[in-house]
Amino acid sequence: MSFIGHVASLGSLRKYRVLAIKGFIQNLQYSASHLVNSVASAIFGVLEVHFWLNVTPPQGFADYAPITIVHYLTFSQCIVWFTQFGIRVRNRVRDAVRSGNVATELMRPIDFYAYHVATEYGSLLYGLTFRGIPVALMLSKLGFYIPKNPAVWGWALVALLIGGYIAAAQWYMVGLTAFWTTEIRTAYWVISSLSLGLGGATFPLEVLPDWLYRIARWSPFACLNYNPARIYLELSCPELVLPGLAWAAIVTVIAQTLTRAARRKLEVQGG
Amino acid sequence: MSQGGIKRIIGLIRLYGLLISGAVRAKMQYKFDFIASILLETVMGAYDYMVAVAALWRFHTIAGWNIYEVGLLYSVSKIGWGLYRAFLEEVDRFEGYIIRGDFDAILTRPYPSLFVLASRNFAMERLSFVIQGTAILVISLRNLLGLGVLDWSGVLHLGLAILWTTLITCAIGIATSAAAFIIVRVEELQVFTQNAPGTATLYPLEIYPTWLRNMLLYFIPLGVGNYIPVRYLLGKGGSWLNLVAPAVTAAISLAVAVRLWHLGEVRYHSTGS
Amino acid sequence: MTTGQEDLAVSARNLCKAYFVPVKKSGFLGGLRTLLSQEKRRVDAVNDVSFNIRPGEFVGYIGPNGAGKSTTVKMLTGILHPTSGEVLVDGLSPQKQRKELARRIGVVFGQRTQLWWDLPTIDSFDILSAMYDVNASDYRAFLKEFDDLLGLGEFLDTPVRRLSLGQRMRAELAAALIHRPSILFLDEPTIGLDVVAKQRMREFLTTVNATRGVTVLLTTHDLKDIEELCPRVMIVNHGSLIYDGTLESLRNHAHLPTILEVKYYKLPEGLSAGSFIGPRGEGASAPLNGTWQIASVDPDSRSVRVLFDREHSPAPVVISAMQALGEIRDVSLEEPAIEDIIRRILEVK
Repeated sequence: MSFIGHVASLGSLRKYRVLAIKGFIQNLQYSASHLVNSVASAIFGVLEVHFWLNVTPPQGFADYAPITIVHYLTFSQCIVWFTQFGIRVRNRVRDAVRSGNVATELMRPIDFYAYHVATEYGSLLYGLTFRGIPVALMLSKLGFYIPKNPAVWGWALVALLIGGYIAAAQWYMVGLTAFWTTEIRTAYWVISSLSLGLGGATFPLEVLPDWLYRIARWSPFACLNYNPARIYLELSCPELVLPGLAWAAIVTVIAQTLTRAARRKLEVQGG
Repeated sequence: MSQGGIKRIIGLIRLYGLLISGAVRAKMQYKFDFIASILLETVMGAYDYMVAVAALWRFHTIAGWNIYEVGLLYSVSKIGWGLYRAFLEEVDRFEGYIIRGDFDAILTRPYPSLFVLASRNFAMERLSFVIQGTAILVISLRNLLGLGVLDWSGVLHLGLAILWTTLITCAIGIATSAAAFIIVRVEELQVFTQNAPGTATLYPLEIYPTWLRNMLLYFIPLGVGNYIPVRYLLGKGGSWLNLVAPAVTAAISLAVAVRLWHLGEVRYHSTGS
Repeated sequence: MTTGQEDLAVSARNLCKAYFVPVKKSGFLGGLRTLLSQEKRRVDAVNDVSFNIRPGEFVGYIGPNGAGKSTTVKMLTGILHPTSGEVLVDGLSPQKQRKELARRIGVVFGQRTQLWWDLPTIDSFDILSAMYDVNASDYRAFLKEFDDLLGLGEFLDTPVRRLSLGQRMRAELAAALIHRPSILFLDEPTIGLDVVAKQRMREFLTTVNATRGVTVLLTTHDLKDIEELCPRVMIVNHGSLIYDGTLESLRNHAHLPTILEVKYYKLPEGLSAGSFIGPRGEGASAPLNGTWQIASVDPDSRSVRVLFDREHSPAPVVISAMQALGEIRDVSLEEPAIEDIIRRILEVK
């Protein structure tokens, strides 16, 4: 089936909205412990801010003034739950493979990839609101950047949503490796290190040595944190969403290819 | 100490050794998995150090401490953490015992419950922290000794600092797990009393606001284990008292922790699981 | 304290264990108000329980779930402290002398293991022998003896986690006896075992109790365990001890009828279910003293089932009455099932 044909077969968007809502709601039962986690998150955020404030020179570095570094970090702490922890989807896919349920799931009329990614997107949105907002409240003493131009908010949101999609897709693929290895730990660790290290979640990418910085900012991982943050802080222009869109498309193709390969493996081996 | 007392302690140590060797043997059954997971954890754990290295490579110092000096703080903390997890793994995971009702079986043994609990396991895989810490220690010492910032007596005192940090970390771990007697689930509490302070004390305490610094020195005194003595050894301030404080803090915090544990146990006798 | 108290294996007096449970609030913000309120409700898990157990006895301890059995055992072993009352086990206080007492008692929990999960079974025994300071020759003797009794040899080198439930329970029993305790507490040890394994364990317990004089307190749900093992049984319900005595007198207490089934060569005339028989085989339509009731008559097998109370009418009297009615081909007696006895006792109290 051609790519276009495949996309066409994904059908109406409504069912994805339903899946995303379901993914969102699944998390609500754990809200209390999530709240505690958010407090912990905020505390680590505070520690980070103090570290970077003290290690960077008083005049700032690159295009960051000291106060901008703080703003970068407080913003990042709020969105980190959106892009960095696709816990549910990778475990869900892995468990489906282990238990053999994946065979039934693959036979469903809904596209396997789309199903999982849509559900995870809901989970990630939960992370954004239920964790992001408490963290924002707690870090408010440190200070946030508030863009005056509403267009900036819009573009930052777009970049964020794209980042979320890429995150859902990447964690989906981590879970997918369960088709070929029983333990997804290695894949998880690789992706986790890359997306933390090159994503700019805990520090601005400019900190990295030049050669690494150049690789990182054009990697898909930068779309998770760095790009949205740069747009939000008005340090980069909104055109920065374009690489994000490109990566979203690329990542979708890779994921679909992998899914097809997994399906073939299942058909040949029978599970 | 009486003859009988010494004999008893030797007996306990021998018993502990026997119990531990059993746990170690069980792990060694899966030799390959075990070594692989240690290597993986060692490498994964180096991540935050890599971030610090990247930052200090570019910006040179943090609050006047360079990468090698920070390395001393880092290594003492990590080694202490690794030894705590290795010896007191079951204490760290104590909430499971309360939830499953397994503490009853611990109480049927003719020894203090902390001893029975701790001797059920020696988590060799946690030695990955010790390996990380030691590697960083060696790197840092090579530079600092070479530059004459530190001499060999300093190294000796560093060794002691590692001991005191380990004991303080153990005390905090025991006290936190004792809370399980009342609130059962302490995993989240541990993030606040162990993980967060552990991360914070990887770096010089000057970078934090006063209230946080005081918390890390007087309330959850991890900072007294590495920051206080290392500061003095590097000539950044303080006096010989900086070398005594960690020992005193270790003794006091252990005493408090064990007392809290006993209080928790008394409560368990009255309410069960 | 009276003399002779020290000679008792277990002496419990007015044991009480009360828990204070927060009062649940319903309605608006109920959950939160429950958490914040100080109001507590007293729940008596064990209510004024007293008993003495002499050394060498084999006592069964039964009751419905939540009756307070486990709680009592936990108080006897020092795991829980009573709210009030006194208890001495082997002359020691489980509350004040827990560690000392631990050397003299053995405990087996049916559903939880006390062995080292990942290690070969023999390692658990080695460790325990060191823990309890069992000397080498005693330990060797133990291994040989328990291999004979329980067949441990077949799985000594298997890790505990790979043992079947039956094997594991055998190992747990052995482990509990390495240090030659004088008292053994068993909490639901036969749960989940198949028939053969249960039988084996019962034989073992009988031997241990008879030949080594180990006092045994067995908490169980399996009434067959009680029937086969326990000359004395204590029944507890809602935290109170409602029966403490022999199994025999328990039967009498319950006043449940014994069933006599008689098969005739030729079914006597005029017998119908519900009517009564007297001692000389004469019929009666209403119950009179010294009569017993016909439960059923089956013409196909030519058998008659009769209900009678052993306390009032000994079996031979009933049988001879039935003989007066016709030539008997076969006779069988059916005692009331122990489940029914217990149920009756629990209903009454």
